[in-house]
Amino acid sequence: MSTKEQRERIELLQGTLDLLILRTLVRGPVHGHAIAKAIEFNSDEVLQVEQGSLYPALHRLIKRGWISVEEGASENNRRAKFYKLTAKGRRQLAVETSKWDKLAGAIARILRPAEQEGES
Amino acid sequence: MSRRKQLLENLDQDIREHIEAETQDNIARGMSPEDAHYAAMRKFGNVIRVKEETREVWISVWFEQLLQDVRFALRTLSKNPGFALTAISTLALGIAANVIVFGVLQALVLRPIDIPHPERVMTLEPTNKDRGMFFAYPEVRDVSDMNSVFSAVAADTVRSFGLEAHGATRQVWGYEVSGQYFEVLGIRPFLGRLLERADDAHPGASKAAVISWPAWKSLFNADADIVGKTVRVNKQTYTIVGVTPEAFTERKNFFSPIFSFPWPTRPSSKASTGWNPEKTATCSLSFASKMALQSRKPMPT
Repeated sequence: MSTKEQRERIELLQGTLDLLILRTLVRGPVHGHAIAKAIEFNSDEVLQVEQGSLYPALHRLIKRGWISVEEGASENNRRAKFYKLTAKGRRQLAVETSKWDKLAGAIARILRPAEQEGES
Repeated sequence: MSRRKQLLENLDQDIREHIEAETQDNIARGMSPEDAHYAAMRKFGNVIRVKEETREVWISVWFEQLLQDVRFALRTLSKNPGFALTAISTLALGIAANVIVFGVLQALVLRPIDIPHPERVMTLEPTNKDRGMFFAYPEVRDVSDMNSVFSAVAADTVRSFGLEAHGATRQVWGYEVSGQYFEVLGIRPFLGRLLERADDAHPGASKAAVISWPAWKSLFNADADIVGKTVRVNKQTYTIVGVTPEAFTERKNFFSPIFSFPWPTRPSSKASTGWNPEKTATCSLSFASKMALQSRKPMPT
C-alpha cells in the first residue's frame, strides 16, 4: 500500500462503523478479521478502518443485543469466533440504514443545491 | 456478567488471531513474513488502546446493573417501611456506637503522645498490684535519683485547681509534676522556660507554673509578656515561667489540663485531697530511656 493510496482513503465517520458491521453480517455469521476485510473490499478500499477499532464496536453491538457470538471453525479449520446478527440487530439495521439515507440526502442537498433544483 | 468476563478474557486471543490472519494475507500477497507482520500491526492500530476501549464498553453495563440493584433495594425497602426503619436505625446505632468508642480510644490510647521521641518514653507500674497502681512521692524520688537505666524519670498527677481571675474563682485542670517531667517529654518551651529539676529540689522549692499554649491563647489573650506574671491558684500565688509549644497537646486529653505545677508544696491544706507525701502519690510514672531493651526493669520497692 503506497502513501498516495493512503491519502485517498477516507476516515470513517463516528458511529458509521456499527452500521457497516451490521450490514456485513446480513449474509451470515462472520469472524472478526473477515468483517474488516469485507468492509474494506466492499468499499473498494476507500474507507480507512483501523482494524483494531472493530473490537470495541463489536462489543458495543453485543452489549446492545444486536449481534451474538458463537464459536466455530474458520475456513482453514481453526477455532474462531463468529459474530451473528440477531433479530433485534436486523431491525436496527433497517432503522439505521434509513437514518443514514436521510442524513446523506440532507447533506447532499446542502452541498449541491443547484443540482438538486435542476433535478426537481 | 459471566458472558462479559468470558468475552473480555478471550479478547487477547481474538486480537492475536486477527493480526495473525492479516499477516497470512499479507504473506499471500508476496510480503516477507517480517514485513507482513509489521504491516498487519500497523493496520490494526494501537492494541492497548483497543483493549481499553473494548473494556470501557462494558463498564457502563456494570454500572447500570449496580444502579438497577440499588433501585430494586430501595423499592423493596419502601414497600416495607417498618423493616427498613428498623434495619436503618439498627445500623445507625451500631455505627454511631463504634465511631464513638473508636474516637475515644483513638484520642486516649491509640494516638502516640505528641513529643519528639515517644518511642523512648516508657510507663512504669508497680509489679506488686496489691499495693495499688500508684507510687508514693518518696518512691518517685528514689527512682529519679538512683536508677541507672533511664536518663530522666518523672511522675505526674492530674488534679483540678481553683483559678482566680477577675474576682471569681473557676475550676481548671492541671498537672502536678516532678522535676524531670519536661526532661522526660523532651519538648522545648514556646515562651520562657519549662519546669526544671531545681523547681522540685525539695517540696516547696519553687512557686513556678507553666501554662499550655491553648491556655496562653484563650485565658491570657496571647500576652507576649506573660513570663514573670503571677496567677492565683488554690489561694496561692504562682509565677508563670513559660508556655508549652502549640504542637504539644497534653497527654491526658480527656481533662485537657492547662497548667503544670511543681510537685505540690501543699503546706497546711489537708482539705482538697488529703495529700500526705508519705502515702499518696501519682497516676503514673514516665521514663525517658536511652536503653529501650531494659525499659521494663521492675521497680525497687
